[in-house]
Amino acid sequence: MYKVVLDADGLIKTYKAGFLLQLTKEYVCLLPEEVYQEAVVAARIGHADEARALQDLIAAEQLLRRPAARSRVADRILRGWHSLGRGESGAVRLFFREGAGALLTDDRAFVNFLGLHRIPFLTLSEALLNLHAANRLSHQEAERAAEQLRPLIRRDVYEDLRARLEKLR
Amino acid sequence: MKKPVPLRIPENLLSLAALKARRDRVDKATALRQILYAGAEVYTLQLLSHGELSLSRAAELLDLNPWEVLERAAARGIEVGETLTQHRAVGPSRVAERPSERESPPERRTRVTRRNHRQEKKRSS
Repeated sequence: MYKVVLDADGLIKTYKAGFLLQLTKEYVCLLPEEVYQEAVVAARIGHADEARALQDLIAAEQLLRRPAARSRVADRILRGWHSLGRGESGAVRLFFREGAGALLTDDRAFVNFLGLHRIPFLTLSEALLNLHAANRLSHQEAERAAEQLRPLIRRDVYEDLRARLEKLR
Repeated sequence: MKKPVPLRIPENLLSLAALKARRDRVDKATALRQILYAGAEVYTLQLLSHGELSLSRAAELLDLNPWEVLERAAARGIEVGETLTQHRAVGPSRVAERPSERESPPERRTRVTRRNHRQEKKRSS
């Protein structure tokens, strides 16, 4: 199975859009320790339900929590890059460490970084379309997920997603 | 951690802080910090929207968790996430690269993508 590393943006948005569980069935979803700390541990106050749901997925080993990784390649390309936080840096290190297939993110700054360094990534709309194509999501479920993604992504990206979903009908 | 910083503040902002202090029943220094933080939040969210800061970095700078950052951006109507230009520029084949290519990206390709990055920034500004 294809290994995908999630950053906080990818994790939170797939959870909010309601297709995180299906994503874990289609891909091996790796969660860096740094992302776990910021999106699960720090979220226990104020987002207790979400933090608990993510913790349950980790306990069921559907989301694979990984300790902070070290990677010389990642350190080299991350040097001097101040627009990224600990979460994204940890995700890049884990990507190289695990030899993962892609990073799942929809973060504009992170996508810029990944594109610049030719690191493969999956955006949420791509992931959603892939899950639909793999029959992990029915057309109706994919449309519902797209609707839930609406406030979390840009309007033109949402419209593009709807148009591509319509073509798959 | 808070640090004292010597700062010249315009009189109008001090008047605003005094107004806020009276209204919210806090001291003037707290009112000033709240005004400063509100400005910092908007500025950080704009940088996030423009792709100059990532979600995780924005959360670190605002001392919030990423869930809260996304909620505050949504509450202010600030769009975040990948742009359609970025989305179309890279294409779906981006997940199909071989690991060997990732370990040592050729210099020529890096320059090409760097130019794309500049173009993307220019378009967004």
